[in-house]
Amino acid sequence: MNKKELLNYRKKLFSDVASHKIPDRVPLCPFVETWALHYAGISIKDAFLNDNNLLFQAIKKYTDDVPVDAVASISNTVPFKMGMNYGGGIYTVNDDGVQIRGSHGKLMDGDELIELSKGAQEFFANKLAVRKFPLLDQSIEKNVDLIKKSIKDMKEWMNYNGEVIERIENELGVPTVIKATNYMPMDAVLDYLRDFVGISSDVRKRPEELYAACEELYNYMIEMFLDSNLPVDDKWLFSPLHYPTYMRPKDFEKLYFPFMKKYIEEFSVKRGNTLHFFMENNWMPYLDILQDLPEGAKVIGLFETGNAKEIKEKLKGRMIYHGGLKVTDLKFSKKEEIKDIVKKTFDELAPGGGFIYGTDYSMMNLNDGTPENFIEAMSFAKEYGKY
Amino acid sequence: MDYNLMEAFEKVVNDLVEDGMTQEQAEGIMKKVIWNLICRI
Repeated sequence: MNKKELLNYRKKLFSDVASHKIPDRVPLCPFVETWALHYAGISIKDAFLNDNNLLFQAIKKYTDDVPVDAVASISNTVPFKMGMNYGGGIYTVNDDGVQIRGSHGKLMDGDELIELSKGAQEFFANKLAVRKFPLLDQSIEKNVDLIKKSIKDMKEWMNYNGEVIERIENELGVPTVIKATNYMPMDAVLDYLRDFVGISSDVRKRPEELYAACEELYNYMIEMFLDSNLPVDDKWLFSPLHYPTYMRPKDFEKLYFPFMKKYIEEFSVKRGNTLHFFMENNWMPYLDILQDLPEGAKVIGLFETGNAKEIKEKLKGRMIYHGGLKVTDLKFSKKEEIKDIVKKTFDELAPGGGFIYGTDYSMMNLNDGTPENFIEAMSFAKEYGKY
Repeated sequence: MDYNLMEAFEKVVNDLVEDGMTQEQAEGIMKKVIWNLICRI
């Protein structure tokens, strides 16, 4: 196959599995992030900020050596240059990776949730932006210039990444499956507004106010996404689900699940997008609640832990199981043990389709998995996963 | 600050519309910048 045929073949593997059809073979999509840059010996800072050819070369080296069917994400997910113009955001990048600067997740108090619920855009701009970035305390003319610079920075960042994705597809014949990220509203509250202690207190003490704020954030997010006019294609909309497994199931059902279900109905059932949820932590206590998700929607769940077989069987028709390869096996097992590990997983999870093979955790550093074991696992999986 | 930051955003929207963008497009971009300020960077 030439690169174009290869690209189309691989895309079809994913579109088939996401549409609940049995693909030609089990698609291989390990969740590799900055591991690829470490493996290629390329500075992450240079690849993310200065020269997008370096980012392309790192992914080329990874996909040349490890037989995968897709790059999950090119990993350059933060517009750092935009943040620098505001005196630095909550993330920094250096040669080795991306770090969060201290604890910046608590930007507002619980009693402000009511104000947030009355209008996220005004509350974000008038209250939180100024609180988060003190340099905004300047003349309106200077802030107009700064905002215009932000628009330019955002466009440049999107073009920078877009060029890499295009090259990966055209020159390597490998799809990059994640198109965009949408947060579930409660995860945005957790990560950027209230932090863990704050949101946990809100769940107990002011659940109605939290829910109302999440409704407003959800509507804001949907409007923002629809305004961007991104095409519905074979690429996925990604959402990392951070907070659910820290909630009691009855709180999850009442406060979080309604937004997850509404999101699936809006984007997958109504608009045909493929949705990819990173199901962080252990979802076993929540599987019964997930039975209420719509059947036949194009929804993929990347599961970190739990009983894979039980999850796959219980969510059959509602969520495609993505995962199965433990990074601890890539890290600690002997190379000669890898084939048996892959075989056991495939014998359990591949029958009947509904399965994408990938790592349980995202791979950030080289010690998240030895290249030898990784190549062995994917090479064997490519052969053994034929239907 | 003796003004609301939304006023600066509204001025930017007006400028973008004057430069040929539709009102809807300009407001969409403003929404994205505000979201990124709080929930991304």
